[in-house]
Amino acid sequence: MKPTNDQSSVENSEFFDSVFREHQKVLFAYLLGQVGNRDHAEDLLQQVFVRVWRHIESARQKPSKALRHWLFSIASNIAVDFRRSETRHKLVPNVLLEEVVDVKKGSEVGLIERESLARISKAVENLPEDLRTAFTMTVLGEMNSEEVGMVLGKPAGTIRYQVSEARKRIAREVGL
Amino acid sequence: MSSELDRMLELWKVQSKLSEVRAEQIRMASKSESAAEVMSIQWWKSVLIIPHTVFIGVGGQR
Repeated sequence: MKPTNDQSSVENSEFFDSVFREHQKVLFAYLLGQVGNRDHAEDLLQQVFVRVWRHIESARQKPSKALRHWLFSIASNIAVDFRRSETRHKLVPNVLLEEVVDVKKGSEVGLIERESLARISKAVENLPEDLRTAFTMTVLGEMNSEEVGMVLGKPAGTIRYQVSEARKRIAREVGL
Repeated sequence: MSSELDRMLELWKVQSKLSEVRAEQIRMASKSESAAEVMSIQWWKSVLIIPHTVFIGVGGQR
């Protein structure tokens, strides 16, 4: 029996929500790695899911591996477009840094810790894009090097090296 | 050095995560923005296609 329009839209909506729940964390980590700025990464994440919703019928037909690949290719295209436009309208510097300091105001975290945290954020922001993406996907996206490598099309060993290199650079920059 | 870095990175991770509230806002907004876009396309279609159809209709009667 063919589903009615109402049935179909409920199913689409439920499918969208499950895709969102399953993939938002890693996509956000990926986008943060690509653009280096939290506010922009949030905006881009929304653009990714606007596209997903627009193509929800075809998304439902995809097997889970193909779906994941499709989601990351949307995110990658959106990040590329964003970076192109950003070279025309230069990024506002240190947004991530200011936000971290703001969020921590009034909490029990001490001043020295707040400053270290802000320095870490700045150090992450300053990493080259490839190191930053491997790092944010591993640390923030909680993916292992095989999973990150599969998404980025790189061997797991390369991802492990990049994460290790990112940690060294962050440590050096914050003086640890 | 490594344990201090790990501790700071753990704090950074907590700070940098997308909050549940923000994630929920993004989820809802993604659906509604997409719906608004579809409606806007339908509106433009009605503006552009209907007069065109009427014109052809009128032209055809002559």
